[in-house]
Order: sequence, then C-alpha cells, then structure tokens
Amino acid sequence: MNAPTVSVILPTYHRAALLGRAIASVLTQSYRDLELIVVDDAGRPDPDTAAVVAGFADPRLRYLPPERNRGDAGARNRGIEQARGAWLAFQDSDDEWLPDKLALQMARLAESPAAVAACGSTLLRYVRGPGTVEVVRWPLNARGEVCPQRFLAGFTAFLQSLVVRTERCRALGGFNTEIKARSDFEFCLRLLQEAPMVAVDLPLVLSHETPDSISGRADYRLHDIRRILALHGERIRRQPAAEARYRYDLARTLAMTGQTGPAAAELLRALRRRPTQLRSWALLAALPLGARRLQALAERRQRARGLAP
Amino acid sequence: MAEAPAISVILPTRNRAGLLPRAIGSVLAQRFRDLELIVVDDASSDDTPALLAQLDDPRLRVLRRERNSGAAAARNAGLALARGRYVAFQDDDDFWLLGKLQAQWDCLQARAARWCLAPYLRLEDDGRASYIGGAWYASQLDYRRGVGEEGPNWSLIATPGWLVERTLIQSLGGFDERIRSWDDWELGLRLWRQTRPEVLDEPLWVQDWLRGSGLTRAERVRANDLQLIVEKHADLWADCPAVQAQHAYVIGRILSLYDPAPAGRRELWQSLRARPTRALDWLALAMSYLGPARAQRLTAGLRRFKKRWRT
Repeated sequence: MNAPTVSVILPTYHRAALLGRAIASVLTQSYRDLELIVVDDAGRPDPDTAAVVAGFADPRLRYLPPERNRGDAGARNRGIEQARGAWLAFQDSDDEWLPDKLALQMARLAESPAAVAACGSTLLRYVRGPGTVEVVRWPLNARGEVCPQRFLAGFTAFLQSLVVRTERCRALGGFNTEIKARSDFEFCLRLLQEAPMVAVDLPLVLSHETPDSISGRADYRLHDIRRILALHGERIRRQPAAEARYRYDLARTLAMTGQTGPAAAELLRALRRRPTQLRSWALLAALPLGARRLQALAERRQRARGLAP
Repeated sequence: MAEAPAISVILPTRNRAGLLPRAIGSVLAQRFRDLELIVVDDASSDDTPALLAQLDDPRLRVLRRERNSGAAAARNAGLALARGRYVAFQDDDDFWLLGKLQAQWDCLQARAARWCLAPYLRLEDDGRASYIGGAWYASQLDYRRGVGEEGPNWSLIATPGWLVERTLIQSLGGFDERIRSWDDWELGLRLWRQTRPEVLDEPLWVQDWLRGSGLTRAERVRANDLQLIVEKHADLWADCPAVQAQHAYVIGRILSLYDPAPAGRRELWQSLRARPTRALDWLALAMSYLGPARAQRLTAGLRRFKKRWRT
C-alpha cells in the first residue's frame, strides 16, 4: 500500500464505549487519503477496545495493542513512530471530528507558504449536563497565523484540531513524557517557536466533555505548571502577563489543595509581575477561607456559568 | 428493488453543490445503516446533477424535478417514494452527527413512540454557537406560545431533527405546499394533534448558519405563511387572546411594510383591541400610515439602532 498523506494518531485508555464514535468520525472524513493509528495505552489487554476496533472493516485503520501504560504523551509518541504520512493529525477518544475537518485544513495548508508547519481549527466544546457549548479559537494575528505570545499567555491547546508536518514533529522530539496532562500545550509551545502555524476559523471538531472533566487532577496540574515554568521560564518571564497567569493558576491549585503558604507566595510573585491582575488580589483576600470553602465557591461559580441559554 | 429499509431520509436540495456532499455524506455514514436516502433535486441549475451522478451508494435514490416548486413540494415528492417504516428529513446546508439516527431509532423502539426530535448545535452567522436542546428546548416546544418577534419558537423543530412514522405523516397529507417557509411548523402542529414528540437531550446534528443560509426567506413570505397557519389552526389559540394578538401584530406589521395599508392596519387594530397598552403595536400602526417605502427605511434604521444598542 502507498503511504497515505495524513497519519491520524488516536491514543485511547479504556474508553471502549466512546471510541467507536471517535474512530468513525475520522474514517468518514471527506478527505480520504489517511491512515488512522489507534494506540491502545492500556497496561494489559483490553478486549472491549480491541473489539470496537475490529468492528471497523477499513484497511486504513491500524491498531497498536497494549504494551504498558505510558500516558498521553508516550502513547502519541508511539503512534508517531509508526506514522507513514507526511502530515500528522491527532484525535482524542471522546471527541468527534466534523465531516470536512481534514479537507478544509489540507486545503488551507496547500495555499500556505512551505514554511508553515501546522494548521489548527476552531473547536466546539460541548459540556453535557448543563448543555452549554463554547467556541474555542486559536489566537490569530492579522496575517491569519497563530500568535505565539497570546498562545503562551492562554495556557491551553486543543490538539484534536491540529495538523502538523511529521518531519517537524519528529525533529522536535515529539511530546514531552515528563509532562502529565499538558503535554499538548507544551508541544505547541515548542512548535510555535520554530515555525508559523495557520488555522481554519471554522468549527471543525466537537469535543464532548462532562462538567468534572474540565478541572482535572490537581497534582498533575501543579506538576505540569512547574515543569513548563522550568523548561520555558526564559520565554515566559519575557511576558509579565503570561507569567502572572501561570503563577495565578499555580496559586489557585495550591489554595484548593490546602497549601495556603505556598499559594500566598505564588500570588505575591504574580502580583509583582502584574499588579493590576484583579483575580490575584481576589484570591489573596479569599485565602483565609481555607481549601474547602474555596472549592465550594469555585463549584458554585462553575454551575452559574453553565446555565442553559 | 431490495426489501424496504427501516428509515427513509428525504433531502430536498437546490443549487447547493458546495455543501451538498457534506449533507449526503453525513447521512450515508450514519452508524444506523438500514436506510435509503432520497435526494430531491428541485431543478438545480449548478453542478448538483453531475455531483449526484457520481455517487454510487446503492442506498441513494435521486429524484430530479425539472421545475422549481419549493421545499414543501420537494419533501412531499420524496415522501411519495419513501418505503421506510420511519422517515427523516435532511437539509442541504446542515449535517448530522454520526449517531443521530441510531439514538432516535433506539428512543422510538424503547418508548413505543411515533415521533422523535433530535436536539442540535446551531452555528450562528456571527461565529457563536448554541445548543438547541435540554429543558429550555423542551419548554419552547409548546404550540401555545405561538409566534415571537423573531418567528415561531416552533421553528426550533426544524425538519432535520425529526424521525417520524411514515404512515402517520402520509395520513396527514404531508407538508402544506402553499406554505413556503414555515411548512415545518405547520406540519408540526398537525403532528402535535396526533402525538407528542419524544425529545432527546444531546446534540445530534448541526445547523450551519455560518456556511449555510439560515433564515433567508423574505419577510413577506412569512406573513403569508402565518396568515395561512392562523386560519388553518385557529382552534389551537381560541382561548389564547395574547397569542392571537401577537399573530395579528406580526402579520399587520409585515403587511404594512410591503403593501399599501388597509389589510395590515386591520390586523394591527385587532391586536391593539386585545392589548391597548403595548407601545410596539402603536408604533407599527403609526408606521403603517407612512407607506411601505418610508416604513421599510424606518424599520431598517430601528433595527440597526437596536443592534448597536445591544453591542
């Protein structure tokens, strides 16, 4: 078989119930010149996942069976090693690509200069329960390219929308396995340092979330922010607003887990970088409430934000 | 031909060769596979016929109409060919998510129901998106609410969300072909008299006003539609004077924008008798004396002002 143009990497970890939708939304893309590599990241054989994959009779689908649990970054790297396409795209096991996603992104890349290494798209984030939908965009500059400074300050990436040159991705060493939950963001940070990235400003991916999947694990969050500050400290410090944002996130997580002293120290650092950041002042004032009451407050705010239209 | 499929999907289209493949693809790629897709080409003059000729799925049937006769008539022509136990409808600028029909099928089987509505995501033309579903959606589906300033809340039951028993819809005579824009609302009212829809609660299709058309129908057409619907279903609102007044107001306001006065003014007076203190009714009445040209300019100006006020 000839090498496909796009290799789609889909890491999964015991998600058999949702995986079928994610796979089908790739294989039914109007852009057909692709292979889909499902990387099973379970630590032991997972017959349910294997059965879901076997249910698709499509020669473009490849399944890498469980070896050991490596986490998101390691699983994606395992898929990247096997990729044969000139471009890589990424899918998550609970998300849904809309039918023209790859076609519109590949068309956008075809009209871009050769230096452009990647293309994103807008994302629809649907949160079950409250039934809200949010439109998430890459921060673009006037030339239609992703703005590295604003991306750095935003502290979020959505890999499900990304198409990137395989060569570029391998040259960067793939994903950093030291980072637990934000390896996608850290990868994009390095990617944007090297080469321009464009985006199609249309919602092409539907991400399904439950209200509790947004917050994530506090220990991973602490670990990741500290790692990213250590790896990219120089760049981050050049942007006071970005550093203040990271320090605030760090402080918030520390405060929620009862580490009031370190939280206060981070807030003071954040405020030194950006004295006008109101939420840092607010959190500093609220610190004496203690972790439990802060958590209750945060939950109440989330509920209020999630009200139906 | 092979045995009758479980579901017939009817897709009327006209001059949308750019988006049509997405709509068709989203039907043929459904996880629920026991279906036929009837595309009714309503006299397209673009590449649509060539595009349809290229597709080679045995479940696809194409009906070409040489004279354009509108979406309601095209849907009825598709209905006449349908063989499935249930029928679903698709629009050429929208698309379904892959689990739509399966979720609706499961719902109808589990609850022994005859009509199921699928909630959806709407991509607004200004780049925002909304979920048309949940408790809010269900509350909007009450026919007693009638028409609001922007249209009937019932338009939220756009046909791409339907899965209905074929014999039920055929026994009602299908869509009323005199109605050009709100044919879904009108048939919905007749269906509602027979049965209540089961409403799911997850996004199952996407209404694309970003790349598609949205509500492009001329306002004048809607006034006609509303007049027909109010005549046909007068009994539904017999004991809802507020809805009657609102209907008279919408018809009167639109008519006096397009026709020299009497008919529109009569409707506005009728509305004012029921709610004499409503300023908007008096404004519309005053404008009806300006004549259509000036009334249209003034309305456009007021809308611009309202929009700027909001932002």
